[in-house]
Amino acid sequence: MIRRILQVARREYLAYVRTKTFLLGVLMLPLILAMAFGLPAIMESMPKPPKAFTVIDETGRHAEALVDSVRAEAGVAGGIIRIEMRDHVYLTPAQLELPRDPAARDAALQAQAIGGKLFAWFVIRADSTGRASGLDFYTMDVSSQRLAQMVRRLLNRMVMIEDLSPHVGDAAFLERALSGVALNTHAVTAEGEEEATVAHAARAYAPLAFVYLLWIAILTMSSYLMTSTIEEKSSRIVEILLSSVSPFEFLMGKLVGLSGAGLTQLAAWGIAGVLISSAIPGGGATREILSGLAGAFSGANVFWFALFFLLGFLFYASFYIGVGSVCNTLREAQNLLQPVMIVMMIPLFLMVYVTNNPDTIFAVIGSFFPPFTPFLMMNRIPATPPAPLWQILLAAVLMIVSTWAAVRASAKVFRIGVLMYGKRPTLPEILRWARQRS
Amino acid sequence: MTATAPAALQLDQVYKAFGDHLAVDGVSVRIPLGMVYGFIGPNGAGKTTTLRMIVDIIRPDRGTVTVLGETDPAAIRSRIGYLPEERGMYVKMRTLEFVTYLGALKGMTMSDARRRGAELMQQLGLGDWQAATVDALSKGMQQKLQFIATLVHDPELLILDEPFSGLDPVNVEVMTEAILALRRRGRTVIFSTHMMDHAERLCDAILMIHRGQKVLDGPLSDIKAHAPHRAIRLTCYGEKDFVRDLPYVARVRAYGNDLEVFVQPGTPPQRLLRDVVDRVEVSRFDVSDPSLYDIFLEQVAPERTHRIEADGSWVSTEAGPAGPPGVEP
Repeated sequence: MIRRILQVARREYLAYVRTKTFLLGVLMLPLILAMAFGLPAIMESMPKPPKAFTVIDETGRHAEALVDSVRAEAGVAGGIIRIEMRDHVYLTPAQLELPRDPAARDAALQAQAIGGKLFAWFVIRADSTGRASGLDFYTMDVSSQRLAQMVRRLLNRMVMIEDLSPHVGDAAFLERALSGVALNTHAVTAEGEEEATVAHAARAYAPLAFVYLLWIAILTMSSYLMTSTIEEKSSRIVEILLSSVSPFEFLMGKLVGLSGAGLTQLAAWGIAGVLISSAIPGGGATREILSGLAGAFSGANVFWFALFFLLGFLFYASFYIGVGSVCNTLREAQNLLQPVMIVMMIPLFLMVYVTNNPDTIFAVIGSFFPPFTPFLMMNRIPATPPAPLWQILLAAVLMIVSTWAAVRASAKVFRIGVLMYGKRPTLPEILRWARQRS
Repeated sequence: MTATAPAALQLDQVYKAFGDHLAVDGVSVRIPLGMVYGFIGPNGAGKTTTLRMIVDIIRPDRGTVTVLGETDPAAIRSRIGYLPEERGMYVKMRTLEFVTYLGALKGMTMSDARRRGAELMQQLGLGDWQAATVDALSKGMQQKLQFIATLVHDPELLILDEPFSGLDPVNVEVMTEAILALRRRGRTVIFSTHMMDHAERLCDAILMIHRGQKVLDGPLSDIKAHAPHRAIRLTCYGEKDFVRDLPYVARVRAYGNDLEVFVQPGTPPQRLLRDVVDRVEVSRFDVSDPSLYDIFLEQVAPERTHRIEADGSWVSTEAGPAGPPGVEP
């Protein structure tokens, strides 16, 4: 029996790993990783011309001090001001050779911005008393607001100091009063607290990525199995095979073969992940995000990920093969699969909620419901707080039992369905087959 | 009769229903080893269902199936070869790989299956096609490949469902030769057919089946010897209705100018000849052994006329209370 199952598994494995579906599946994760992290990393490393801005100061006394404050806060190297990983450079109005007349000046600024020489400019408006009363920000890129926010904050402070100075003699006091309090975010971990970084954010959201990958892998491989079952049925090869192997052996062989292909895919993803992360230059945000992902997917989590991947695949693949065996065309199968698809969608809708609230009663109970178990457990295991071990074990046991039941039921439906041509059996008929004793 | 000699197959009161339709209705048969055995009957008679129960693709509702002395289907899977009527293949697989795979499923080692498959492909003229994918083969070559895949593991019992259907004349000869060669080597071959002439040429013994029930079975020579009527075929021109009314004539089938006349047992054929030459012009008069087809009709519906359509269905005319055979339960 084992021998025949392995023979079927071997053929199914080889047939699947030669398909384009498998190649795309293997390449998908590296491609996504490469695009998500590689491209920005490459962009980051490429030399970029600094974005030039200027400040038109109608009050005539703030511009220089303001730009100095910006430099002081953002940090300057060789005249370059670095904000939001982009280089900025300040050009004085004199450097831009602007005309004095305001209308002509605005036209010239606009021309220089369009011409690419200038990225943005500020105009500090003055009221009739000469006090700064407004700040206008003109930019080619309204999505980049960090510089404008910084300038506004610093200008506000300068205006306040100017306004309050006559009334408060103590300059140091004024300075201190306006400083307010700073916000520092700390991440608490088992190793003690450390400063919150991008890596922590990546780690918090890593479960989302895993659930999604699991979902995609299960869906593509199950669909492949269903399609191949329909093909074997409609090409009538199945009758030859069933004179050599029992329906149960055949079904198990297909499941084992595809599980092997799935694990091959996971291994390929793992290797690709390691290769890509080591290829990306050290330092920088990309590196931190990757180390965050790696932190979520390490040690025991690798084992659980593989286990729940396998169980989830076997569970859903049983339904897909059962459906494939009673249908003659893909279209029939898709109709019959709609309820399964709806159940499969629910964990996807839940994954953000569960990632943020992994220990709510809703998430805990949901993760013991077998159709959701693989996804919700994948969601909860790397989350904070992680799922307790007893819950993981209980979910795994429940999942193993229900997967076994699904495979048995599927084999019974398969045995009858795969030799029935013509009319598709009704759902009550299929359920009756699934329950009958073999 | 007690079954002491080893049997290739024994069916005891086997029943199988699909919904309201009783496909196989209490069939019992015992097939000794080393025979070529034909299951004959019209399409829809229950031949395929019976064969599928023998190879455990479907299970009987009642009754027992004993194959090569075993009632456990798992124990004999590797000792039988089965060629279904609807023959599918993995079209993207290489031919030898396909044969090797089926051999391995039957318990051969991969290397044995590959070597034996290559030998058989060589013998049947597919030697140059071992690296081709299945879909590159012509239909005739695919049929040969399927046959090879059925016997690559040298089964003791071969079960062939309509092995001649869809074959070109050349492959019919190849198949016939292969079946006879298997018998020479002591193998048992059971095949089904609705073509009586194939059965007559090849079989040592037959089982006739109609509407799920056994009509008769046994060695072909016995069946023919005990046939109650002989058909007299004559071709004649003129008014022939009087033939039907001759006192010693049991039944007449008319096909235009050709008549098949069945006379009462014990009637010498010359008596008919004498009676007809006086009244009509006779251009042929031939007394032959009853064909299996005649015997079959004699058994199932002597009062009705039947015709075999090109697709293998047998149509009854002279509508009685029932419709065509094999359609009703």
